[in-house]
Amino acid sequence: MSLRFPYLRVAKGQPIVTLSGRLYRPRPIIGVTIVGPAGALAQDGLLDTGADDTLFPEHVAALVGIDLANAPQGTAGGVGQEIIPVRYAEVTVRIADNQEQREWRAWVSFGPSTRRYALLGYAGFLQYFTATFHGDREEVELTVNGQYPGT
Amino acid sequence: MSEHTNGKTRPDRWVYVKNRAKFLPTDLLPYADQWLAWSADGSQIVAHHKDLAEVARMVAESGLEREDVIFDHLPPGGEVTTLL
Repeated sequence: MSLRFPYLRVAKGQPIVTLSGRLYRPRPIIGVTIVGPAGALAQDGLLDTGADDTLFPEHVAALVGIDLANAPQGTAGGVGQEIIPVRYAEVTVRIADNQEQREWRAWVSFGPSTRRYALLGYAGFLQYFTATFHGDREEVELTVNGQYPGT
Repeated sequence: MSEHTNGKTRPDRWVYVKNRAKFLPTDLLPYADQWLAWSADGSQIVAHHKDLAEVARMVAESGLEREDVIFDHLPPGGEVTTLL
């Protein structure tokens, strides 16, 4: 069975030239919950096939009780963005649509809150799913694959 | 709406998306560089503050659990078009 999510429609308030005058930008952003020893926190995450890792804001780690003090460190960067320091931790990630819920353990990265959305990249997220982006319907469909480690 | 495995009602993402789309960039400008907590149906901002921990505290104070809202960090310049 697949999980289906609507694209988030981000209102722009003016016609978007590249989208034939549409007034909003559809983005493959879904709700994602991160679970730690001190609780859970839900936020929006961008499904990003160009991202190597899955990235959450470091403030979120503290709030759900994940101690990054001695966590492995690394760096990450994106197009036109500066290189940022990140730390890695194993967490529980949860997503759900109206029919189905999925929860698994994954190594993700935490970095400065420079982006609006969590980045749901390959490691820790997309590696476990077959993702179908329905541009016409502005929906994304996620189906767990053979590597999926969760419930 | 449907049921979580823990018996709680799961927010309907389709309703959330529909309501969130009603917020224009100008509506969100006052919250630039702040953390927001959106209601599960996306119709209102339940709490906002520069400090995420403070937003979480305000959410708890209003009788909601953290999973009942969606946390969102608005960039300093507000909503922007991104090239990824």
